[in-house]
Amino acid sequence: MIYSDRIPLAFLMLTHQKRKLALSLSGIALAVLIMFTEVGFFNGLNDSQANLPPLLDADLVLMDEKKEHLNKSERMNRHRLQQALVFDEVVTATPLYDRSGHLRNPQTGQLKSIDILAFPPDSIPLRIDGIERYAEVLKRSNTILYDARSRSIFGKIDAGMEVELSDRKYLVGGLIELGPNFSRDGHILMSDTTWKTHFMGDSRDEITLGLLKLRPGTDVESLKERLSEQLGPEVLVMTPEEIRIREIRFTTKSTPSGAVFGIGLLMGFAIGVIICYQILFNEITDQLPQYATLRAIGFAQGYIVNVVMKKALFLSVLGFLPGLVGGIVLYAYIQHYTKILMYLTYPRIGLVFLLTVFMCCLAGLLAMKRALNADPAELF
Amino acid sequence: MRIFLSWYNTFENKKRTSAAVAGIAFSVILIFMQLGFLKTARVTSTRLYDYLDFDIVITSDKYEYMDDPDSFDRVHLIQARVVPGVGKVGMVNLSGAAWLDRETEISSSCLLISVDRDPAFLRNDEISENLESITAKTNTVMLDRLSHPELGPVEIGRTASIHGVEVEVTSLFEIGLGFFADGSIIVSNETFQNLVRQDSRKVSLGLVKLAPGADGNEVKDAMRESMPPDVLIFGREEFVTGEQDYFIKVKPVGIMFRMGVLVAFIVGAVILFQVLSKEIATKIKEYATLKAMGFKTSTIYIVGFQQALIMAIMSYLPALAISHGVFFAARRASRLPMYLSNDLALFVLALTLGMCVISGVLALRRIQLADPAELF
Repeated sequence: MIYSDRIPLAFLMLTHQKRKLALSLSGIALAVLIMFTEVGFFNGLNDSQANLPPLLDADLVLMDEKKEHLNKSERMNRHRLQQALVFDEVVTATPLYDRSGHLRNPQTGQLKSIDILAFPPDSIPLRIDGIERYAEVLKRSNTILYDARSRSIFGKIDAGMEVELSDRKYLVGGLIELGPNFSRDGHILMSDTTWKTHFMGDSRDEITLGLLKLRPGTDVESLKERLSEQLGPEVLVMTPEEIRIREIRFTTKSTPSGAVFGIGLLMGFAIGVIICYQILFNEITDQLPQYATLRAIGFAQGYIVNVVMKKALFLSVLGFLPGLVGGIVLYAYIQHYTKILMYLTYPRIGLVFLLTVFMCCLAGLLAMKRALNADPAELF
Repeated sequence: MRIFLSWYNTFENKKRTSAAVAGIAFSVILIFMQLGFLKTARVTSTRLYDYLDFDIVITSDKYEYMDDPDSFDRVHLIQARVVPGVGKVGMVNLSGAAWLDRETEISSSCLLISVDRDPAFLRNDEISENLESITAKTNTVMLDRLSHPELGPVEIGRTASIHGVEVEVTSLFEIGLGFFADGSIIVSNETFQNLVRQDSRKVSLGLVKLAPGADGNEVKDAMRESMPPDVLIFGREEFVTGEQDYFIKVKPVGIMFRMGVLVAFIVGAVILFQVLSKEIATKIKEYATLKAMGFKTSTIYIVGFQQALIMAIMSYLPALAISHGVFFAARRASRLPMYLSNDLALFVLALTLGMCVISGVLALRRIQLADPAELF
């Protein structure tokens, strides 16, 4: 066993033929890419559906108890905000209004359903890049902001254009970037004043979400409990992160995405095992004399096992890296063209890496017999 | 004679060949799965309309999609009735609703579909046969067998509540709209009004059947002329295609599965390429001998291609068999109507052969290098 530290035998055997190695690694990298694609789409679907909560600039959010997910239209009375403001820790309570309207595509004339978000322009409750500079613009009557990342079905819409939204004309005061998901194809933002004149109808006192900002250093958990107690069971009190997690749970439960992408992930894994097995098997077959020589000079079986498993590990790491690079490029491409949020987070990279290592080790075990059967007597 | 050479070559190293075949087979299974899901997404996006019989459909100008159909004044249906060439006019209402299983107190989303009393507008035998069970009495419903288990037992005679109103399940049908809601429920128009409390003058969709001998396009044009612009008129084909495009292209469901197909295709081609080049590298001397014996280079190419073809077919056949099983499992796990049709099987066969041609062409370039002079 001492020798294994001095000579990186497995690595040297593997890199002996560079061209062949490159081809082998491309096979493993592709299997890694399949796994990344499937993991990416599964999470992309969930993350996209939960794209709004992380944008809420609030410490706690109030909503109607029957609003089981953000696409349900249940609202609550705005006096809930006043009730919350009674607590010393609550600094501000901002209403957010949300409903869908119909936007006419200026090029084709078609009406398409779009999501409208409204809020007081003096305390914009959304964390969207550059939105602060539109506070004054939003105060002008009938002026809206358009989400430039909305789907192309709404046509080409630019700042300064006049658009028709639910039978009324509005001026596009500027563009912001929010992004669509599977339920919402696009967004329009407006001030609560504009909203109240045109969209409230007979529900003047109803708001979709109540966004609370707390005094720095407040114990959020304990305040949440006291607020819940005060507001009663008809109102949910949650942090934006809790809402995000609830949205993801809802999506995984209500769509068959887990089964659909899980099967894909499994297939990618199986392909990886087979590719890796094939590579190792060919390697070992080609280098059978070397293994036989090792046996002849007295190395134990354990040493051979060690070499083969090390090879498998090297293959998994070396194949994972180009797969990861491919994944990064693919995610960027998919996010750009489909607007699905493809986040490549460390836990997701870690998951695929673990699967890759597991896949190669499994292949190593399968190919092991070949190396152990190397017979010194057959050398000549 | 030639076919024997490629056959023996392929099976000379059984282990290597079977590993390669298994790898390619898994890529083919992955292609099957991805295309199966895509096809199912396409089919379910319009499955409801496959169950309805109509030649022309009337929708609100705000109609977006089955899930978000908006509504229009039913007076337009009466206007449609007088257009020459129009036979029957029926209606359908659609709405999302909350289904509460009283046993478990679990609330699920469901798509509430109301169908016309006239079975002429139905294309599904099971629904037609059971139509009476939901029209005879209000607050009786037809429940989808492929609904999410959280809706509770799929049994005739059980009750549940929709928007707080108690309903009784009096018959069952099968549709599987799992992409859109946990369950689907068919009711009569009367029950629909009762449950949704929609303005009774409003309808979601108007269905038109042509009078015998009438020309669809002419009737459509006549309807467009005589009806106000707040309703839209579509022929069956364009309506269904538009519906699928919205789901597959606008909501980018298509790319999710096409990406998987692309990567699986490349993987299959790479494995095939790998095994073919390995094969040629080890047999280069034999090929050189063949050349020296006077066989044309093209003969050797044919042998190589035959090997590629043998491996492709050998991978395809088990993949097809296993895919049948995987489709069955996926159908159970996802409650989607996933079926492996002959069209799909043929299309994947074509892709497999394409894989074989691409990797064959790339790998066989090396045959030219077989030089009789280098034999010794």
